[in-house]
Amino acid sequence: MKDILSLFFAYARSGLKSRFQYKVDAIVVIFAVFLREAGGVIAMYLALQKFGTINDWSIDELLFLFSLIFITYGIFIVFFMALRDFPDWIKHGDFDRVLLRPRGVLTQLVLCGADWLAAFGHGTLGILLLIISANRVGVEWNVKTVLYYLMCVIGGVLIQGAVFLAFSAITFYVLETNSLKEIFYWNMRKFAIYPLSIYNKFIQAILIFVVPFAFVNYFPAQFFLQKPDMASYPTWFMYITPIVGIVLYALAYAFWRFSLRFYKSTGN
Amino acid sequence: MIVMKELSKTFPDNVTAVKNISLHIAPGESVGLIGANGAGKTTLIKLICGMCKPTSGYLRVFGEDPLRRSKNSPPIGLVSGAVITDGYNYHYGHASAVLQDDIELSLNLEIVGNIYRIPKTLRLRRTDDLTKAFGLNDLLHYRVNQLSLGQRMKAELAAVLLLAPKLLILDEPFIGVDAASRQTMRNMLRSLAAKNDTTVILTTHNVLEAEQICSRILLLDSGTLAYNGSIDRLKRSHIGLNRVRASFDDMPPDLGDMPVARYTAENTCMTIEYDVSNISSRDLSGYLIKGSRLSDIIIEKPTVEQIIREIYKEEQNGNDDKC
Repeated sequence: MKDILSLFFAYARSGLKSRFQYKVDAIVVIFAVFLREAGGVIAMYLALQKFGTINDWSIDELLFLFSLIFITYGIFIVFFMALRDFPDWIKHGDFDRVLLRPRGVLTQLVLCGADWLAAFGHGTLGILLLIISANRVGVEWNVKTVLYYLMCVIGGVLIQGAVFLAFSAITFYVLETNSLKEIFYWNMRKFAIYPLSIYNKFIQAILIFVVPFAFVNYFPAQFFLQKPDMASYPTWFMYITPIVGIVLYALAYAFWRFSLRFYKSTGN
Repeated sequence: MIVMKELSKTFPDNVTAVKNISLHIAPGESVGLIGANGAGKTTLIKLICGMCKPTSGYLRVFGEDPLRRSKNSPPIGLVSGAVITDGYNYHYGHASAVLQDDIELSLNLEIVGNIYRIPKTLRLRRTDDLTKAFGLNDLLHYRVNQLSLGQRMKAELAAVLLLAPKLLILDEPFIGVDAASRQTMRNMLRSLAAKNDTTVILTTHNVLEAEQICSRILLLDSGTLAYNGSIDRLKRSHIGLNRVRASFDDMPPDLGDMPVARYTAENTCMTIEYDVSNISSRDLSGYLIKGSRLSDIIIEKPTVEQIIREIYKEEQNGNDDKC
């Protein structure tokens, strides 16, 4: 464990160093990421000025919902960037280098890939939204809620990690998965910024069972907000985000291991 | 160290890159893997490294199946040379570079040490030795993408030697490298091979380079092992023709019934090709000196490259016959 931590810190140091080589540029990039994402928030804010609420969710509640997306993504991208860009790793042969080293294949990928600039951009925005909204929607912070919030964040990171891990495993078979990611990750993420209950059954099913973004932000937010639209879903959905994260990640990992064997047996 | 029995690898598109190769490489041996592009060199290396699975046959590296390499398996050092795609850009062969482009060399070496669990003191000592040997001392604080290709390849080799690997595989390490750096790398490899402590596999299509470093040559030809043995034996078994270039003060002599293969004479110069098993160089040159006014004489031995070209030719002719 200590061993893995020291490797992570060595990579983190190198990653930060290379990203902040040109400091002004790095800060501009972080700011640009921040603004790009904040644009979505502002658009939502302006729309809410007109409508007042969406499905009984006020603007502050929506911001709370939104903040979970940014916070989990900010952490997610510290660990899973290599999987986000995995097709390139295969095409450029970088992946073979990983295979040769005396460390777990996935350990290396998770530790070495960190998009620090995106992490800072998304992370700051997420934390900012959380600070603004949490008070106004009346979240009571105590040991229990803080702990559950943190577990939900970890669960949300694992859910997204599992999705990318599964896509990476698919890469072994088809080499190019960027359009899959576009449809099943980035588009679903756009849906997830609004309450699940506003969508039709089909999209809800996808968000709950296929790419379970609902467990990244909607159900954990319901735990804190207790909105009436939660009545359409089993109550226990509010409590299982950490479990969904772990189970999904374990399944994705099994699929990854299986596919890795396939990769070796075919060669590329 | 490495044992292969009837090893084959066929890709899903039905290309058989490695066909029925059986061979044994002893610990500490240095072997040159030679073959044209597409001869199966890279696939063979991938199989040895456990990056892909053989279709059939037996393969053991360090006594273990390379596909089942564990965290405790002895490290394999792999250096891949650059493939230049156009005038300026280059990328690396199948397993790309050890070093990360956008950070300093020193931090790179630290990460390599970390990944391979090399204790810090040992890492620092080796880094010190290696950077001295490769003349990289002043470059430690440069980012890798600021290095020239020659410097970079030296750094790659140094980074891999940091692991003190028992098996070192070099895939075309000299491509695009300037003469001085090439010399440094070659010297390093030669002394490494001489110590008989590290098994070295050098892939190249430059036979001369292989000859300087390796004691044995493996010649791959479309996936099969066309030759496996020492360079000396290669020379002896496929003796090419020696060649004498002689110039004279006046007319070249008449060779009469000397058992030479062929000769050409032009003005006062003469080129003679002969097989040393028919006539020794001493007898031939003695005849030339005695019989006429010799002004200059050069005797050339056949180069390994010529011999290999002939072997390939034989193979190809053989194949043509079958068709």
